[in-house]
Amino acid sequence: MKIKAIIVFYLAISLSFMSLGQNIQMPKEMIMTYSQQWKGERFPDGRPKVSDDLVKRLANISIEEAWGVMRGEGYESQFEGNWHIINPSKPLAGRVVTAQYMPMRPDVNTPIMEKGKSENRKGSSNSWPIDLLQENDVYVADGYGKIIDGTLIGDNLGNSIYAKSKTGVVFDAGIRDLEGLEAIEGFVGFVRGVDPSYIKNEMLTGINYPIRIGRATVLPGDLILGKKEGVIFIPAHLAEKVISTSEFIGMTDAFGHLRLKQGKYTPGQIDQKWTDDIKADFVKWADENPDKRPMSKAELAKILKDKNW
Amino acid sequence: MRKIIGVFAMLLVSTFAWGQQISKEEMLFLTPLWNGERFADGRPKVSDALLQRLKSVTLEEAWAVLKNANFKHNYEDGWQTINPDSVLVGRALTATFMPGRPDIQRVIDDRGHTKDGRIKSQNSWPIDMLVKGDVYVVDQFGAHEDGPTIGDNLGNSIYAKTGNGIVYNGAVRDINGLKELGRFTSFFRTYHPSHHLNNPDGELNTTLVGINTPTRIGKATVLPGDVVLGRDGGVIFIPPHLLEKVVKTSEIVRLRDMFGHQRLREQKYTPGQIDNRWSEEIEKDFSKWLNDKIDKLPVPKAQIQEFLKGRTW
Repeated sequence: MKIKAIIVFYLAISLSFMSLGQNIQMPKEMIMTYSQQWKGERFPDGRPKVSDDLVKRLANISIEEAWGVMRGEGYESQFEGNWHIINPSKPLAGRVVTAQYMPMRPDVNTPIMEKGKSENRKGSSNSWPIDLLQENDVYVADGYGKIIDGTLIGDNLGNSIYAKSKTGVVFDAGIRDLEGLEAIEGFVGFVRGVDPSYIKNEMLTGINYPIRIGRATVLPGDLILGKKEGVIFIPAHLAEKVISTSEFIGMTDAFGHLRLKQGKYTPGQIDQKWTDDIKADFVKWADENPDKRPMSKAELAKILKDKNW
Repeated sequence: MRKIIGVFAMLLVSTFAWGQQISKEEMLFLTPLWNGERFADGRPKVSDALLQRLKSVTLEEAWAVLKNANFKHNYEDGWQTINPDSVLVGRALTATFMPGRPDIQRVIDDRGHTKDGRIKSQNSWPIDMLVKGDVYVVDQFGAHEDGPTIGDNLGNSIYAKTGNGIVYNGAVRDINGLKELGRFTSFFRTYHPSHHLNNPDGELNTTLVGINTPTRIGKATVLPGDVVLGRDGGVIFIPPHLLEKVVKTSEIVRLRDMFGHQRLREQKYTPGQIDNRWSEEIEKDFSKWLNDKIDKLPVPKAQIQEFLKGRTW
């Protein structure tokens, strides 16, 4: 009797996993393995959830500073440029959700569509990643640079994306309805081109798997920062370091420029390694000007302690 | 009792297991139209006999059969080649690389070495799996300088294991050594003397994200077990369930062309008669011609007999 119960239990469990046969979404264990350096909060599907506070601060750092910190950590393939930008006046910042598209093959697409239906996914597969979006997510898709017949969204899906995420998209692919997308206030898009055609001869092969966007490899839960120069993807475990270091560099610049304008120090003093007096002056200034200090006092203290400056 | 629990625990773990390599269930899920033989890992295994016959098939013939079956994204060109006058034929084993990331490079190395029994560098892991008749199909994202994962060392290994060359979306190195292999008929994007970088704590530009997962080679989506036909500068990836149709259609077209051209040279029929739908008289003549020459034609005798059986003329 007991053995029977165990067999039934085993069959039930293994069936529930086998039914995943093809996983349209990357399995949780796989996300956890790839992002094991991230020790913080996660979404139920395993995707790293960097704090809202950091996502908000991300929008104000510069691409160069983020790039520099990551290069120092050995991450050399995180930036991609040469975009057509929709609403470039606002930065794009958020947590990555990925989608992989490939040229259509009926033998592969049919089981994926059936699997999606059994998982209660609605409509055509290019809307499935959008159904998962939450506030501060950014939808990042590899559509292999296809623009004609490769437009991943128009203004309908664009409105849905913005309503859910309050951010925008990064597509190595095209879009349609440019005017409609521009009219969505706050929506920011980094795309390869614009075409009136609609998506055709193309299929979704996976959600939240690692994807390649030009020179960058992108994982779900990465942070993404998009500015006029391009987009940069920051691994979740490096987010705090990248952001606070970038902010720190921004603060030292603001302090230095101020003191130069005031004529308190010479350019030679500011452009060199600072003396202990200048350092002390900076700490005092940062303390007295909380509006110039995007991070908490504790974070600043930690940077000052770790940094050989 | 404890033993039973142990066995089930092991089974359960094996159900959970995943690595760089596609799981068997996923492989079966993505190739539902193939009902024939498979390798132990689930990869479709078309017959050696059909592979042999595929060598005479042109890209046009394969392309037409695929297009009629609604497979319109299985062809890619724009290659540099080794042995441009030879034909590459075999079963695809795929690898997908992406620009290197230290975080995933480390965990992939670690799991590969400690759990999956993989040896040394990621770029050799898929090669360790190759068997006779395979074609190694790689997406190295078009990387040129610092791109090559294959030189003449791995080239020798690939050739020894498969008897074939490669289809490689990136640059190769040691091109002289690869050419010296003789029958290493290959399709690749470029040549560069540098090599890829794979140290997660130092220089890194390439990470292996998938073995036998679907991969994109230019405008084509490639599945493991697809049949590669590379010739005349182009490569077509034939889904295994369409291979027999590709081969047979090509053979019939070849026989009809041979017959038609011969009769035109003999001036037995006019070009208008041959370039049109054939009359009953010509079809009968064709059947007779097949019977008379059955031992001398470039198509196996058994195949012609089967073909004749289905004819009403």
